[in-house]
Amino acid sequence: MPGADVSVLAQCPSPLPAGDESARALLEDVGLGFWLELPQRHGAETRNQRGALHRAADTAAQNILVEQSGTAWSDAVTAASAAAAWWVGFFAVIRHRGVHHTTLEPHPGPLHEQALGTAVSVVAHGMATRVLEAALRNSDDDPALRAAYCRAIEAGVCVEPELPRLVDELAELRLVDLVSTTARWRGRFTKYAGGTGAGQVE
Amino acid sequence: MNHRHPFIVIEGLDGTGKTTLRKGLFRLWEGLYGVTPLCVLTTNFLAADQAAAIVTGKYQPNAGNRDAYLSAIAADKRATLDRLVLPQRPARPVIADRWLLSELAFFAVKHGMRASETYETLAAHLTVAPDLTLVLDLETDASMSRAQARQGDAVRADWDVHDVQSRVRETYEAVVTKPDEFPLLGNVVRLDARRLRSEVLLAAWDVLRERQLVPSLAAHAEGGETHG
Repeated sequence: MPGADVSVLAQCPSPLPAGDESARALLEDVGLGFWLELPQRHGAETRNQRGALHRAADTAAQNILVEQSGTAWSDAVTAASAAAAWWVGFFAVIRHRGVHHTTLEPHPGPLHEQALGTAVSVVAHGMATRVLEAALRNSDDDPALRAAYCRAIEAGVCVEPELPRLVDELAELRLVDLVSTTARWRGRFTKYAGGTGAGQVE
Repeated sequence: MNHRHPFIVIEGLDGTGKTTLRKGLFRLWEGLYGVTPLCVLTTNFLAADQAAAIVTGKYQPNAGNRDAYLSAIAADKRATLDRLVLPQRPARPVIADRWLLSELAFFAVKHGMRASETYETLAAHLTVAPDLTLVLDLETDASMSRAQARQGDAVRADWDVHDVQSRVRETYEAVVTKPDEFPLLGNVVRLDARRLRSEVLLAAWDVLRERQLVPSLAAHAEGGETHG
């Protein structure tokens, strides 16, 4: 992506609302404390510009939450989705230093920004699904929570046919791993088929 | 008391969202309840000696092969129950994409058989009813429109036409309004397939929860396992 603004790609996501310890606790419960902490610590500050990746993350969260807000789980979904934009952006910034996910050859081919937006959406949905499952295991009495979970599931069903093409376009190992392991799909473990799971490059 | 997972059937016209619902329920069970369902079809070709009769009877139906086809699908369903559904239910839910209701409609439309007559023949071979049959209901025009918008499906000139699909829907309606006459359908619940797919999934999930066909999440978290 020649000419891409690195600071916009790896923007710092908005922090959780002040005092929202229950959302933070939910993220910790599901093992996603790091998911939020690293972007908060290392994300680039940009004053006004909301990049395409953050807009994709916002859209993914809004499609799941549908105006639901103010609960621990909705805040956690919003935060996890926003962090997805940073993670995808960060791996995009260092992509040129990576290798192709199947050939392990360096310098994976060029990448269109639209593919990154789709990647953010996929990762955001995957993480939101995980957060919602954790919230439901605490209590499944909230109909809005159950409805949000169903929307997250359906988003995953809808995007699954596009994932092989997306993975091919992302091409670079870390980006592919990020997307293919956070999405809930049948290809979650296919990377191991090519023998790249043994960590030869890492 | 036997602890086991449910046997769920999803029925409906082509284009009503059966596969989407099945995938959604699969992900829900796997992701939230931690158990991977087994998915089966209405015909699974487990009775190998019946395969030819099944293919011929389905794709070239005529009066001469009607009884052989009916016998063949009865045998195949019996084999599916004996070899897949019953052995798997202690370990995982089983979700069937169509089951009995579709067969009753096929024989009604293609052979003019009363649903009760087809049912009587099949019932002689099947001893187990699903716990739940979810029927996705949608007007014929809408279901056909959705089905035709899908990529990759072949259009069957003798089936994917409005007259046939309308008659299939009429058969569904006639059967599901008289559940006591067709006990091997199990409990039948109609879902409004006009709704968004996520809302259909939510409605199906609510039915499963109300009937205790999914574990209580509190019990599940503590390691308990009590199913319907």
